[in-house]
Amino acid sequence: MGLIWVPAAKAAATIAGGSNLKKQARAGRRSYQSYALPQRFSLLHPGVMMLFFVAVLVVTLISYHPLLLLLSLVLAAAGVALYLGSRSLLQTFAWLIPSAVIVVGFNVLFNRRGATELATLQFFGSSFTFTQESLFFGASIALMLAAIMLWFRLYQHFMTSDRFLYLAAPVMPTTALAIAMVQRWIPLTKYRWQQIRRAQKSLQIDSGKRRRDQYRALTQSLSALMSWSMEDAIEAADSMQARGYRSKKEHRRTSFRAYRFTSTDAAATALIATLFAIATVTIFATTRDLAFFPVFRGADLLSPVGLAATLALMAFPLLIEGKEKLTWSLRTRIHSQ
Amino acid sequence: MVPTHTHTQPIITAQDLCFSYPQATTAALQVINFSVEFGQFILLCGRTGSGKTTLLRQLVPALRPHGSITGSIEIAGQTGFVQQDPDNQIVTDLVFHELAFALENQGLPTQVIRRKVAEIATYFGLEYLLESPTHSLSGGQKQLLNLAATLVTDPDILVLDEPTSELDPIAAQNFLRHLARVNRELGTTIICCEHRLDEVLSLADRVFLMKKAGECVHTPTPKAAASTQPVQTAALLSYEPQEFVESCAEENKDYVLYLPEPTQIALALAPSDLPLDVRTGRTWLTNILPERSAQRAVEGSCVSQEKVSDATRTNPAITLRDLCFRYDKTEPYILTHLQASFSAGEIHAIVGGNASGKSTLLGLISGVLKSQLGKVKLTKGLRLAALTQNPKASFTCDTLREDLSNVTQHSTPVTPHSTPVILSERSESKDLALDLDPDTYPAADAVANITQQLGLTALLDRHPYDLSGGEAQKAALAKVLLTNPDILLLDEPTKGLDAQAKADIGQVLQNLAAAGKTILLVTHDLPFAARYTQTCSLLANGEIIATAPTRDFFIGNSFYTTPTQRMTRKIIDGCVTVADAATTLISQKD
Amino acid sequence: MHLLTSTLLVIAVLALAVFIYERSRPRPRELMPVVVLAALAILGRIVAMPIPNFQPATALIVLAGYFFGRGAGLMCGLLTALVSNMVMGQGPWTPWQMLAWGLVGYGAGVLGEYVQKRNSDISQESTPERAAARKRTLILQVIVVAYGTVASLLFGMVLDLQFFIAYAWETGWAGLITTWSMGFPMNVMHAASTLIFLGLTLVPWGRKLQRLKTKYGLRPF
Repeated sequence: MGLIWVPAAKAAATIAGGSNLKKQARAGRRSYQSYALPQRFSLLHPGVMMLFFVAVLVVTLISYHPLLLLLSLVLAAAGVALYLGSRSLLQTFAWLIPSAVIVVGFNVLFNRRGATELATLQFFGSSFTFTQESLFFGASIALMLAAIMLWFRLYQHFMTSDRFLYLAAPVMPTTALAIAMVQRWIPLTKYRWQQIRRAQKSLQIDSGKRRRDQYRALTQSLSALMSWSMEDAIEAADSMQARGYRSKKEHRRTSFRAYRFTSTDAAATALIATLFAIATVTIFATTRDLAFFPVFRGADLLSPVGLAATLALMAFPLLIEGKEKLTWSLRTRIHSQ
Repeated sequence: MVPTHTHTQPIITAQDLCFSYPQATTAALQVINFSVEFGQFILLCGRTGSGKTTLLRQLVPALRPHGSITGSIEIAGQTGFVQQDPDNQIVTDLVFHELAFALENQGLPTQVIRRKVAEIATYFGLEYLLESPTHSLSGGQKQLLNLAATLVTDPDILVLDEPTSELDPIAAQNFLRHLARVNRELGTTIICCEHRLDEVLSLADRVFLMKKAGECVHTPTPKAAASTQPVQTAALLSYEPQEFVESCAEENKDYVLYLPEPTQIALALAPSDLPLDVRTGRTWLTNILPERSAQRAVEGSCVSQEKVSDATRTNPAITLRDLCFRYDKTEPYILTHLQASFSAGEIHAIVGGNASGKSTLLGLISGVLKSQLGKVKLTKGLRLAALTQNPKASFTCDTLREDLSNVTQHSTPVTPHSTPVILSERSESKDLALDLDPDTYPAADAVANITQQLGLTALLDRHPYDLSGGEAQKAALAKVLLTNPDILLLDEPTKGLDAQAKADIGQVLQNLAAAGKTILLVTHDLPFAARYTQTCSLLANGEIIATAPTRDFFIGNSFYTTPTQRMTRKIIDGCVTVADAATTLISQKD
Repeated sequence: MHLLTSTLLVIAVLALAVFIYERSRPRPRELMPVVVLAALAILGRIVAMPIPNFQPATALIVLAGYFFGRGAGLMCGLLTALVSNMVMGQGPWTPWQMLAWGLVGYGAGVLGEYVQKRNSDISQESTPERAAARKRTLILQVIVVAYGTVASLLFGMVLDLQFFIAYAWETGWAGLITTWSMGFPMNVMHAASTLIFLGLTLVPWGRKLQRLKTKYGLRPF
């Protein structure tokens, strides 16, 4: 990936994700039920979660109406603040804003459509015109980008790898297994690397002053890491075979389903699907005539029903957490009396 | 169990089984005959290279290696297989994924998998770990998980290839206890290859001994002739446990080292009615001793204390002052105000429970880790080298020869005042060492010298990963010794080694200490510490609780001590090693 | 909208690739090298984070494809992208990365099969008496490294294309060219890292991988 914003975004994501991983490792357990933060949403079936994220992303991606995009951004930001804390939201904005500026700038600089002239630059005899419409369009797209990134931040939080694998395993058993295995091999490889470096250090092989020697020791350690991992991998392959993986009998591999689809999940699915359908249909129907160029028209092209459905869909996590919170506060009140 | 139970159905029968790998000149298995009865616990023993693993793999249809096979092997049931390394067998990331793996392969429906996973987890007490990432488990938990993940499909036969060799003694005992439970409670037939006989021998119904072609006994002893198995051509001998230990007095003399310590002691006196564990050992002892009054031991083979003069004590090679260490600012301290000093020219052992900070301490001394408080002081001019726990981590090249010459290229050349160490008493190596002019000490000669002394010369062109556990440990040691250290730190040097390899390593270490090197090892292996070290320290609660000359250290303990001491405590005073007890008893008899 | 349709297209191609892979039912011993190399690539990508876009992942994916076949290369690419993003952050770029890296690995597999058909082993230690063979080996090594370098550049351009389609499609050709030229320094960084890592590892790692292939009878697939 090339553009400047991507590495910057990645770096920020790693800082956030990395510290998360460390926390998980320290706790020794998946932090997929973090008790301090609201967690009603995390009790849903992974399939429902996935449906929710697909729905909000699709709605965000098909809507060009600035108001809808703003709505999506605000609700995604609220979700991030609720589940990941406001600090995490600020961290995300720290790299979202530069990215958004790039997107706006890009559209202003290179999109010369639009009727309302903002400024004209004379540059080596040719004139460049910047228009108000392209600025407005760029800003809308920047809103979309920010909203998508924030929704993915939430996705990242909820769709932990075991949930993802749970959904993937029935569809693509071998690939899902490979993913689980890679996840197993990452800490194992790390451990081996530490062992090798420790052994090399204590052998004083790389203590030589010369850079060349240090470099040589490093490459040797790396290839030792690869060989060692490969040798051990063969043992793992045998262990899989001994436990009947790809045995002669042509079984179709099933997968252990750790989650049950409850009636709550069914209700949530029905709700999300209905809202999604209404939102999509109305957005398609009403914003077809939306145009940014040559002049923006269609600010009124937003059906109240569609707006309400989008709002309800995107506020779904907030709503169910609110319900949970209400239940608890009621109970506390009852008990205290 | 008597082998003449004709009514019991054999679950495995091998007849004249021969096997050779493709393109191999000699057969890996030669004319093997045996049968295993339903529900038996079989212990498979044999030297490295006697074909144990090849035989075990014949018992697992999915893993049968390619090659030419003659004779027949019939297996009436489904087989499960557990290997040596706990880490390499775990394929998935979470405990419940791992337990479900074999069931998923069978294509069972979700409900069945759910139930079976929950069931097996509860049976092995793993239910609180179900959602944990597999890498966060301890070695013992990992191996238990492997056992559970294999048993979840309810196999009729369980084949285990040295399942405890990578575990510390406590985890190993725990694992074997579970194994015994599986055998007793579920009636699963077990075939276990193991060199830690202390625990397994009393569980086993039969002992299968594998011998290399040349090793075969051609003149059957009366005892063996009486057994049901033909001996003359077999590369596999079948014994009852008692019969096996008695045979160690004569035709299987080289297996004595592998036996449990109580058995070894009894074997030194009379080769019949031998005890197999500490409990029966104590009974045996009270029976042969006339009066029950506590007796004094005659000093045996335990390293003599005379060498430890006050002069060396006041001149320590390593001094640790007030060490405090933790891995992260959010974690508790692992070491707190640790004080210790280790004198030069001795072998020191640091013992202690799991996660007591033994390896951390070595890391601090070797400088890999830095303490938050306190100081590690080494005597000026002394060079330090450390051997990591897993010898595989030490090798980076394609052959052992390359690997060893790699060290001499990189490390600082041998300084003129340091003379090459003589590791063994063999005269030719001594000559070789003394003939060399230290100033022009060529790398190739150093390699030749060390490998000859450690008996690795024949292995120089092998790939380091193709070496056996003992060979790899020695090779890693050779690599460390090529840096010509004065202080040697070893982390669990006997992990995964069989009795013979342990004895070899112990001998090498003693020679090194005699040549003036300071050796500090951390270990779980108490018998090894008792036999080969001069001082022992107990690390617990973040500090060194006690340091004493090895003998005194173990005599003071009743629980955390060698099997011999546990067997003889309150009956004979001061027996720590097998040799102590044997010498005492023999001198009493005279 | 454009992002949605193009991403759906990418996902459809990925689904086809995964479907074919699932149908081939790889044996555990064919699966393991992919897993090992993908784990190394992911760790490499995470460790090299501080240096922008300098990462060994592409080099490792090329190695996987070259030595273990096109299926292995494809899968190694897919897994590297998917699993590393589980740590570093998923986004609309994930499917694009998966496809781009998968294709890099697949291409390396095709290259490897072509070379093996010509019956030359590039990891062989060259012997002085066979100057011609040595030269040919050297040329092949250069070709593989060059492939990796060019593939890294293209990989970056595919991801820049994703940015363009998503947020700047209205700007037309000028915008696309600007996108690519803005991304160019980063992509060159990536290509340089692949050049360095592949150049360093191809021969020594190739030798080790060949040994493992013969020792354990691993077949390319």
